[in-house]
Amino acid sequence: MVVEAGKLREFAAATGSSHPAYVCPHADSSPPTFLITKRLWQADEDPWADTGLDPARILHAGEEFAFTGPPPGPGTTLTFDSHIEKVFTKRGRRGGELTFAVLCTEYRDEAGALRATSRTTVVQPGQTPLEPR
Amino acid sequence: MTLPKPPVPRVVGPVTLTDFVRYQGASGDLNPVHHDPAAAASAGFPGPFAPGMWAAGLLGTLATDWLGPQNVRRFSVRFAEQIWPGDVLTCTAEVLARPDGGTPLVDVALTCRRQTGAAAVVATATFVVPVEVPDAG
Repeated sequence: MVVEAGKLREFAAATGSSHPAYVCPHADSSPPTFLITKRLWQADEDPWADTGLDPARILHAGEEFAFTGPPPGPGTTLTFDSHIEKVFTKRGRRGGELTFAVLCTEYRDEAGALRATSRTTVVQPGQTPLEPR
Repeated sequence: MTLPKPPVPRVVGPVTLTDFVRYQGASGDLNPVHHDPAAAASAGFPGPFAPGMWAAGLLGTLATDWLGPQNVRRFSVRFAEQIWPGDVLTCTAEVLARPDGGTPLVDVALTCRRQTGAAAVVATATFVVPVEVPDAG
C-alpha cells in the first residue's frame, strides 16, 4: 500500500482531525488507525478462511496498532503480510460460546524495515445452549 | 517532564448515516450494515449502526491532536456497544500512567461515550512524551 496525501486528508476529515501533519501540503504523518485502509490494497479474499468462522456472522471486537517509530507519512510504500495468530473460545455472559480469532499483520517499508504491526480481533457468537420450550 | 494538558472532551453528533458513509469511503470498509437498513435488518439489527473503527478513529485523532502525531507508538481499541444514528458522543482522553524519571513513554485512556453514559468504544494508547525545547536565556 502507498500512504497517499489525498487519502490521508479524507481519512483525517472523516475521523475528526485537521492537524497539519495529516492535511497540509507538507503532511508527514498518518493517524494511528490509518493502516486500516490496507483494505483498499488487498485482494478480496476472506482473511478468516482458515479459522472456520463465518464471515457473515463475525463481528469486529477490537483492533490494535503498534508502531516502531513515528507512523508512516505520505509517499511511504508499505508491503503487508497477514496471518491468523490465534483462535480461542470463551463463555459468553448468556452462557453461549464465543469464538475469537486474531489476525496479525506486519507492515514493512521499501527498505524492508518493520514500521507497524496490527492485530484485528473478531468474534463469532455461538448458539446459546438454552432453547425456548 | 510536563505533559500538555488533556484535551477538553470532544462532542460529536448527533451522528448521522452520512458520518458513517464518509468514514466507510475513507477506510474502504463498505459493509452495508453501516448504511443500508435492509442489510442491517438481515444481520439482526434494528437499523444501520456506526463502524466501530470510525469511533476508534475519533479517539485516535483526539490523542494525536493532544500528544503529537509523530509520538504515538501503540493504539489499542475494543468495541463495547453499538453507536446509532442520532447518538451524541463524548470523547475523552486522560493520562493512565505518568512517566517517572527515565521512561519516555506515557499511557493514556480514551473513551467514547454515548449520550446514555455508556462507553461504546474504549481505547488505550502509548505515546512518546513530547519533548519540550528549553528556553535559551
